[in-house]
Amino acid sequence: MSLSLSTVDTQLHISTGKQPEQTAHIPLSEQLKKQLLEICTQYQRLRDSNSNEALMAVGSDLFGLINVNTVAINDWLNSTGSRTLTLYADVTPSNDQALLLNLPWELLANNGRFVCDDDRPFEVIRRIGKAATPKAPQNPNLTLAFMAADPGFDSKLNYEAEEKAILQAFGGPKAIELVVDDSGNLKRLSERLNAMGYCEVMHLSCHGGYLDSEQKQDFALMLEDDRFGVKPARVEDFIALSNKIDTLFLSACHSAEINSQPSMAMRLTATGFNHVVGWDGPVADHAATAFAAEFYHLIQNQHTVPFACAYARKKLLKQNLPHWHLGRCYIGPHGGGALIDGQKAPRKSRKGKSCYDLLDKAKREVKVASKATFVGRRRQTKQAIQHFEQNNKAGVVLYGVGGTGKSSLAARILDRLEPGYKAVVIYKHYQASDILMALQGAYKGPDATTLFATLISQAAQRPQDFEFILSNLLENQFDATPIVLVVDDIEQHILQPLDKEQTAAQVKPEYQGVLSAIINAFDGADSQSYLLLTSRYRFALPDNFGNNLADKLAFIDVPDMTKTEQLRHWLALLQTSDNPAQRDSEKDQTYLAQILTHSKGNPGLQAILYSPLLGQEYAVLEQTLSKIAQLTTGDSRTTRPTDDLDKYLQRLALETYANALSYTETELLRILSMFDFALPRALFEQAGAQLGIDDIEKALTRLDNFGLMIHWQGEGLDNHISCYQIAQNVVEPLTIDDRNAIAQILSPILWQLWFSDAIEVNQLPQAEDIEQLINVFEDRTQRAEKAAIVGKNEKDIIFTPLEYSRLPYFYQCHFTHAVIDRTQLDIPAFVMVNILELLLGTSFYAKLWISLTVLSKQKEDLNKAIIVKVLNTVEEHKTIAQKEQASIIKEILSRCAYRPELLHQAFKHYFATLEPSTIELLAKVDLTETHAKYLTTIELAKEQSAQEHAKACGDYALFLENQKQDYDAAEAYYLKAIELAPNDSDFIGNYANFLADQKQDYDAAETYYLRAIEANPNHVNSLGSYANFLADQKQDYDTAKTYYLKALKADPNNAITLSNYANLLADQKQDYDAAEAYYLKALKADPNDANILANYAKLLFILDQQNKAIAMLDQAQSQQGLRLDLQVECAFYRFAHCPPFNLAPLKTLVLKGARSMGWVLDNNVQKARLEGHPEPELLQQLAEVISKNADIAKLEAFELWLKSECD
Amino acid sequence: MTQIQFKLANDQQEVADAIAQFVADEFGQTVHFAPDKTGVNSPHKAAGIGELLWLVATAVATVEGSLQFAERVARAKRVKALLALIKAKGQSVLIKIGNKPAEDLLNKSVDETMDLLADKKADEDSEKQ
Repeated sequence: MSLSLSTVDTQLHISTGKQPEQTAHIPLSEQLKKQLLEICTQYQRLRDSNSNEALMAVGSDLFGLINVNTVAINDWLNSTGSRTLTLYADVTPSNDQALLLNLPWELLANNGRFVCDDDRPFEVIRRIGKAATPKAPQNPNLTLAFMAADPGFDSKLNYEAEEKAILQAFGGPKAIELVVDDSGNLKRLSERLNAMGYCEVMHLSCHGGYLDSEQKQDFALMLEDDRFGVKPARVEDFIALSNKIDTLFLSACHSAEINSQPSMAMRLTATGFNHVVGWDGPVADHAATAFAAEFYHLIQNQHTVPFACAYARKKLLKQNLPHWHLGRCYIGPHGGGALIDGQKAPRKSRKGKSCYDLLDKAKREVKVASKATFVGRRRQTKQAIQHFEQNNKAGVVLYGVGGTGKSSLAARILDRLEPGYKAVVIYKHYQASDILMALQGAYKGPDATTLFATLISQAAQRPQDFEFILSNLLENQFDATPIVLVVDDIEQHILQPLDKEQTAAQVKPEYQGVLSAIINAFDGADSQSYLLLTSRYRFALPDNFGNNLADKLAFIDVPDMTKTEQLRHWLALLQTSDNPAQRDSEKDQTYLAQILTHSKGNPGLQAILYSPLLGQEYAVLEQTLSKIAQLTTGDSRTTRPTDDLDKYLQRLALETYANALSYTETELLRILSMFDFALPRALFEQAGAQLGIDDIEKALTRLDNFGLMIHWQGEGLDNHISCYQIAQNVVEPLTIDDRNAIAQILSPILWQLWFSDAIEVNQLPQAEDIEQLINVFEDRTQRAEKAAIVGKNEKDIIFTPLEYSRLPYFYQCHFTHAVIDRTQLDIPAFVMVNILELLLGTSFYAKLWISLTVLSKQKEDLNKAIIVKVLNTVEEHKTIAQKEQASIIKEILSRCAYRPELLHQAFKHYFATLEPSTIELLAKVDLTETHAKYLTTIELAKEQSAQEHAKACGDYALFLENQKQDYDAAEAYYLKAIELAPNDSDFIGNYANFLADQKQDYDAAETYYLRAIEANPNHVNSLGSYANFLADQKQDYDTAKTYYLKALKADPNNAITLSNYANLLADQKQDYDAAEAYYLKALKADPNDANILANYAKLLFILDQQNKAIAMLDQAQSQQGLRLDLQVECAFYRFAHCPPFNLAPLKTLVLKGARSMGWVLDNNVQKARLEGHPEPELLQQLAEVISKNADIAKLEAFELWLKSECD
Repeated sequence: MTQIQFKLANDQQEVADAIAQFVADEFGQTVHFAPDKTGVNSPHKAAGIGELLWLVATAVATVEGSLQFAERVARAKRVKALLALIKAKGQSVLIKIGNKPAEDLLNKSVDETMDLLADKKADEDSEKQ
């Protein structure tokens, strides 16, 4: 029975029916209003108390107010079924209406008992606007969007408990569609809701408060921005959502409180929401949680919102929980109906499958969980963002056991940072060149190509400069558009295996330099860019002083999911399944419990076991669980099993799934297993009959049920699928003939699907064009240049970036498996293809041209011509290989470093007839590792000649010395090279340099220099190096001069020797004229050598040719990737000789540790003194620091040094 | 080697010829349909089916093991054509492979028939529930 209260003019109308006699009219006198206001005030004082006695007094007063027509009220009170009290107000309530709405009618009490404390529900409805027909429910099941916001993690709200309670409330026989959004951000949630179309309830769990605490007019919900900061959400922020959501549940304090302004709940109802539930004051966390749990339980059972509120209120009262009376239910004109109708036909599944996203969108690598299925990890996300913003660490390391979602977490962190930050992801390849190449992709400057080519070259020659290079890039090129450098999965390559006793893994020696450089660069650079690493383990990285560089990083533990997170994860996955509402929830819960028990925290196995549950393949799931149970019987550990057992169990599960497939389904899985990249689903749909599968949809669905097939999302990846990686190994592999046949079917369709736009604007190439192209590539002298021209121009003109990124995959699909007229060949398809690829270098466009030709059936003659050409070229290369084994090996190694399968094939083809052991050797090594590459070259060279063997050892020694600073190993290889080639001046001279530079064993060095010269008296490098040694170490300038002249006699145009000799003449002999002549000769030989330019500038300052000197300095400093020692020299010259004697650039470099050890600066200091330099003593001290590494603290004695700022 | 038996109503000469051609193409065997003497277990007793006079043909072939892709595609095409004919005629054609229960091709899809012929069926208890 219904009771309604409304205000008409100055009267309060109390109605129990539509007939006039059923309405009582009470004048709203000032006295009555005062009385009502007092009730409000009294309630505000009492609402926080848990004194039901006092509250009942308020409720009794209210009852007295409405008990005008005693008979009617009694009828209402004693009516069977639900008793409803409706308070009517306009969209813009009058003061009287606001007063009425503000009264705590929920407390209504009679005869010492709350009205709500009864089996019959007592619904209190605050209706805003004129009542109209309630909106009919659209669906048989409820969609609930839940979002908790906890800005700064300091709300102390236990929103996880609230979420859990809601989840449990829906654990009954009928399922719901639950969308949990972890962002805490209304904008992000709105995006998801927009994509969903419509949802019955949005539940927000957060703090609410007044932004103007005094006036209490500006109420907002405390939601989050992308950085976990507070982002207040006011009424106007929700308006756009009112047609997408029926009911808003604002689980926030004060959200339904009326002050001088109408409450937020009331105003939101006025904007168009059918129902808004909120709290009239501060509410205890646990009370709000209990209220929500009961509320949703009722909603799920198809009750109305006011009804659900009534029961929830009663339940809190029964449980003696505080604030049971604070919940308020506002409804709009179309509110009041049930939210769901169980009789309705189920809505069509509107969600896609569980999709994978990409961490590295540029290279399309690193599969991660999609936003829809990645839940939890808010704390870790927040921690990472906080570290970034506080800038108190060089970077952040997400660490935890495999499968806990570290990469997925990294992707979500990137989501929060983009688009302000650009992600640069390093994965699988972690050398300095790999990092620089990845950075090049993120840098859009016009000089990108030349700049990074120079930097990569510099880093290769002087690995110690990498830190400075990176630091410089962060401060300059990435200053305006900062980056997040993500170094993913470092334990895979960079770290040594973790011993049981260790708490932190060691970094492999070959990666220590590059990882140190990265950490130091991010630590020292004045930059907004961030560093983010993921690793299974913590790690330690000692620097030269014994400090652990890893201490500069913040390590964030990414543990296994909590039970709540697991439940949330499952529910998120459930939403991706077909018709989640039609599922048998009890069955789901039973299996879910078993899955969690059997997977013991192994997220990989857990994910694999979820698949058949999602696909409702219960029998297979049961069979799988049983097998796992048998294997793990007696294993009473509650902790996760070892990695090996993990993998075994995962494979066991997948094998069980594969066995459950029909023959046709198995064949489809075999076809999918050919590809390790994503292909359009339409490709298989279109090819179905040609692949011998009649109902391809049905077969794909079955694979889907078991998670044997995965879905992708992202640019160019929507509706793309691939075989689950581990599942590739549980089916019998296809033969080459099968692969060939399948690829011939799929390639033309794939070409149409992926490149239809390009097809429209391009015609197939003519036969002669292709022949010409092949000729270009055969010409080794022109190849690189032409390839660059063809590749760059053509790709830019013809293909979009997406199409371009697809080319290698298309190529792989077509060429790796398909064969050109294989009957013409007596070699396996892949051999021919790989050789062809070798010939074509890296031009994707050229490959595509040929692929196109292959696809064109009209061009068979040309195909044959290509085959003949390839085979002839192979023969030619074999002949060359016989003669020039070392150079061929080196070239192949350098060109195919990241394609081991290609390398193996090339070696096999060129050298297989020589040594089968070579093939065996190559099959074992990982040629993507630089060390392995050198060692393999040494092993191969052993079979060739002692000279080649020596050269391979000598090259490795140089690599070890210069790039790895592994001096012991370097010395061993130098000595090995010398042992193998005792009269080769190259090796002996290099070893002499090593002795002098690294071991400071000058006597031994001199012996080897003389031995090198004795072996070859005209060996320029040895003569020049010995001259340098005599000048620098022995200060024997006369003998040095003799050897410089000998070296110049052997090679008069050697720029380095000319410049070094000029240095000697200038610095030691003060023969400036002669020195200038030699500098000019050196510059003639190499006009852009920054070293010579800077040295010549130094002399010109002494010679008072200041303008010319500055021009030389400008030219030197304009060179890309200038070495650090040269930078500091140039900065010194400018401070010494160029008014206004700007110290800042020099100070910056000196503080960064830039030095030029042994370089003579004294004559410049002297000259500067004579020129009247304002700070001659400071200049002198700077010279000491730079050239002799004097204590930098001495500079602090100079005021100018202290005052000067850095650049 | 497995015995494959086909059983169909005696007024289906066109289908019988198509099956004989199918067996010849697939298994390289020549088969002749003859009146049924031994009977083939029917999976069910469809209305009227028991009263028909039957023709039976038997082939002995290897059905185990996997086919090359191209062979499988070719088989799928033949199966599709055969089933199209059977469905056009609308009468039952029973197939019995080895000791397994006979199946009616009239009610089978191309893929199901391929599964039968490959003798690789999903695990007995793995049907979706």
